[in-house]
Amino acid sequence: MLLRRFPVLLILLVFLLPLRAQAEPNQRIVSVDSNATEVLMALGLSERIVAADVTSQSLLSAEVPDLGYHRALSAEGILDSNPDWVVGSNHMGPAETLNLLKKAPLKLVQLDSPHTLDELQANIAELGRLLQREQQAASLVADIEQRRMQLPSNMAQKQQMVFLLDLGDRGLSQAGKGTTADALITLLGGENVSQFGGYKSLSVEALLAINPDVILLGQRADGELDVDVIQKRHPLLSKTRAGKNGHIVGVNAAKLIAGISLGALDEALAIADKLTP
Amino acid sequence: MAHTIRFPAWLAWSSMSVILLAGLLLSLTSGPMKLTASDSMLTLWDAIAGSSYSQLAEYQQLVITDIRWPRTLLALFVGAILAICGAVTQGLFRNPLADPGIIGVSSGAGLGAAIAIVLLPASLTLIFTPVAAFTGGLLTTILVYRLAQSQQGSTSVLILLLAGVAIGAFSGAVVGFLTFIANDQALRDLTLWGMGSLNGATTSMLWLTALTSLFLLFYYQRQAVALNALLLGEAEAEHLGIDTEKLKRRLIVVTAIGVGVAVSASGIIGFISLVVPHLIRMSLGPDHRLLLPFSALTGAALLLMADVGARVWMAPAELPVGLVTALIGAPFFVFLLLQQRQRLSTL
Repeated sequence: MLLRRFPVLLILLVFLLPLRAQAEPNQRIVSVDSNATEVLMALGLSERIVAADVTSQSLLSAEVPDLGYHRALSAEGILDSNPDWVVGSNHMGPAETLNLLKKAPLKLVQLDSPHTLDELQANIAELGRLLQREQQAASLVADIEQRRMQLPSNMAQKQQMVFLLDLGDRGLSQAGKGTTADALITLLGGENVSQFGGYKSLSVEALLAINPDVILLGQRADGELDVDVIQKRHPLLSKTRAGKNGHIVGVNAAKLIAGISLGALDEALAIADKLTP
Repeated sequence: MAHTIRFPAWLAWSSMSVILLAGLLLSLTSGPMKLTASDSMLTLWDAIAGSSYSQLAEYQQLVITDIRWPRTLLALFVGAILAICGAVTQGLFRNPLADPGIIGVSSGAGLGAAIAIVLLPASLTLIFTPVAAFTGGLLTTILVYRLAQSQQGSTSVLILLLAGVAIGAFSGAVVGFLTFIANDQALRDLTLWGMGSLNGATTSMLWLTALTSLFLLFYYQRQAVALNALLLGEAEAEHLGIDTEKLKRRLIVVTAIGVGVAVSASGIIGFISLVVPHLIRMSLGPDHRLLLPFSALTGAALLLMADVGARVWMAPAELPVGLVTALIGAPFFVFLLLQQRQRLSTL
């Protein structure tokens, strides 16, 4: 069967070869960081993504294998998609998996998870250069530059802000230094009132004492952001200056899981819109 | 004893070897990447004999030689260590609920690992987590053992167990505090470490676990008769001419080292050390001369299978293997208990 068709196949192949050589390298990409996935998609590479981590799944329109949590990746699971590129953040792991990936015939790109728009732009330029999308990358960087102007980052009077993550029945958790929420506050031209690192459960008493100008309420659920519901559960929030001025704003926390991303910038612009009268 | 099924030893040896071999083959030939069994085995043969029969691409060969083969070996050694240590602990304490965790080694190792993960900079974590886990396990065991020693130098098993529980609770609290002050990355590393994984199969870890499991097999085997005597009770064992204090001290220290090595290689993997010795005791009887080697074999086979499950279940993502052993182990244990309820209630 195959033998009889062999000449036909051969002719087809001869015709196809130059086509393949002309087309840009049809390389397979695995993305294990939602920030990088967003950038890859914006660079027009969504078709090339053959597998992605769990946080990237909701961004991608095509069904690709779910590689799970980016800190607990399986080397064999990634190699199974036979990628030419594996793109992730500096948080990807575990180290054993990374060591194996470095041995495999593929290119591993680990981008620092960005905390500023500058770092995001640097990552975009880097990906554009590596994947031969310099032009798209340059225009994306310029686009970010333009949108940066719409942010109130450079206000003379810094507003006192606090980011609270809603944990449902387990109360609220306050974002400290070094978190993406902290970077978001910086983008909004505010000053994070929290002085600790990471997320800590909130003491409402301390919050009332600080009396912030703006309260950002992050919600994890995919559903509609419902600031009123959270306020009803924590009535004391409305006694703060932010509450009195109507400056309690809902934030889609899902946009903040991988540092300052394109999605986080959208979110920042939406918040800035609500804060400016 | 008419109501317990006892297998003849030759049948047990041969069926266990077959199960272990099947586990080995299964572990080498299954994973998220679909490779045929013959290709997988040929690649392995190539790696051993230096030939080149395998038709697989380079990255596919890497999966066999650098991922599946070391993992398979690590599962083998760690499973054997955990199960044999469990068998010895249960015999030593004459308590079917004892597992090595009870002398404080797991909680101490957990504390050591938590300190390394949370307090050390991320670059050092990978190297120091196993070391800290091992040290923590050994120190806690020594502390628990000291607490249980009376002034006359005899060891109270009851106090040992209670001290183990108390020290366990205390380390749990310290780990809780470390969790509270941990940053995001450390928090997640800590959680994953606590669920166990056979991902860290480095060459040095493989040698360490291989030598430890061999040492334990030989050392414990030499103590098997003494452990049998201990089953009669401490006083009776003394009358049979066994220095029970020395025996207890040595076995506790050796077990702490064994479990410490296993935990530092793979994190906390539960239920193997509890379930496997029971399984063997119920099918082969309580004679430690058989119980110990069979526990090691069964533990190795069980962890192999559990790791295959962990790799395949959510593929291409990977489950922590400790989750799989607990998910399979706990219901299986209840099943065993129900089967033996009649007999156990008369004990």
